[in-house]
Amino acid sequence: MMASPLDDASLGAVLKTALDAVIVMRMDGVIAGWNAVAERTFGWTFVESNGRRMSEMIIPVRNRAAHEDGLSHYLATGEGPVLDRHIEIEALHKDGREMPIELSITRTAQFGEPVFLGFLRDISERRDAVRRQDLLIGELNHRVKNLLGVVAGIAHMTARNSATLESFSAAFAGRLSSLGRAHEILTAATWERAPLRAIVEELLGPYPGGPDSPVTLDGPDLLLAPRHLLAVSMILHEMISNAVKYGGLSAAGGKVALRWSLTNGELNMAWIESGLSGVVAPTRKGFGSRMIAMTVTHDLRGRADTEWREDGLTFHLSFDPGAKEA
Amino acid sequence: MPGLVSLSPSRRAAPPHASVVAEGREAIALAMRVLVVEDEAMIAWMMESLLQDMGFSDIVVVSSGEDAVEMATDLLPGLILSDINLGTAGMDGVEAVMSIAQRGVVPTLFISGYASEETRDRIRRQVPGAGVPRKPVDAETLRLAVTRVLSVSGRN
Repeated sequence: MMASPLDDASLGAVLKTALDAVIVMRMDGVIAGWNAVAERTFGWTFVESNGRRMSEMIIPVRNRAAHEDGLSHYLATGEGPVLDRHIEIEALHKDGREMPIELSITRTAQFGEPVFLGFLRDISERRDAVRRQDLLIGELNHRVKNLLGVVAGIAHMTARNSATLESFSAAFAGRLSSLGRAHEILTAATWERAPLRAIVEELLGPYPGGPDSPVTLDGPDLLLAPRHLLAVSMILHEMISNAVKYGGLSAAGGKVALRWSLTNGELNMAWIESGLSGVVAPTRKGFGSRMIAMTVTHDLRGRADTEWREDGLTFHLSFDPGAKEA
Repeated sequence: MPGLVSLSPSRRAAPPHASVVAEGREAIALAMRVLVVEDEAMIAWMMESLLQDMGFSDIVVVSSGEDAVEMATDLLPGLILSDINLGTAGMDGVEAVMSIAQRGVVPTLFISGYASEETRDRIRRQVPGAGVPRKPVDAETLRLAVTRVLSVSGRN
């Protein structure tokens, strides 16, 4: 076996321990050196590659003729446009797969006879990271624009249902705040399924717990898909706002109980207001009830109804929390 | 403007029976059924409201591509406003509109937050003539886009 320039005691030893794949190619296009990283990167051992043409080893078939032509052109004219530059190109692994590599080639006479010295790096991971980043940016862009659309929708419909600028301002700020809190919870859950209890406690947080609390919560821990959690947060916000203005949280003695359970794959929620007197069902539908109806059918693909009693009301909501489209 | 459907801004204050009082081609346009395909309830609701402001009164809102295809069979919409990305599962807006178009081409606006060049190419090839206004869409942008897509379809 011919000695490799990489067996050279000084520079060769350095190149052998380099973090990049180092390949030595003679002027006639034959491999004469191949370090351990090259073995790991391309799958061929030094013994297998030594003495074979470079173009047959790691250059995809479609590029082989161009490689050989470039080499002949260099030997004839001394012009080597690919020398001493960083190039990104596809390379071939022993198992037949192609991989993106970063490459720089230089000509050196450090080992006696002039040879080409190539430094090569597998950049598959870097390319994957760029691809992932592009996907994330695309997804973020989509999500932000969609959120702006939702905010524009809330602003538009709140304005349509507000008698004064002051009432618009308060209602719009409250709705945005609830949406913001739901987003915080979803971000903490990396936009995977997030706990229902987290949004319930976040929105009803200002009401103290304990036996004298006007608010009681009762339900198992379960996770909701982002679309469902956002919808539930908007519905709860409307229920709370209404209770604060006219219902169970507007007067002493008023109570709100929120119960939820999972039965046969369906989430059933009940918002129960009690302790009031002279309650009558409203004759006209405001923003809240219309928004809830739209959100229930559209975003949750569920069912809802409200039962009015003299001492309060019960709002029932049911939907499938495992629905695919969520 | 001859040959063009004009949905004037003044129609913003139009009563619900605007389609009856409007004249000529505009009346035909306003009398047509509009199918809104949008998976976000608040955006769908705003679209419905903006279309009502323009004088449309027959508006059907659905949240998925599959529902759009199913409804379109019976409802025969004269105009479709569709989001492109309709959630994580099922067909997207372009697929749904293409499926509906197999039974007859319907003037369409794809209203999306983000349409990549690849998606725009796909729309140009598969749903030629469709408008692609960006979310969030305001009343005037929507009015102009609806006017344009109905005019193009009227000329064809």
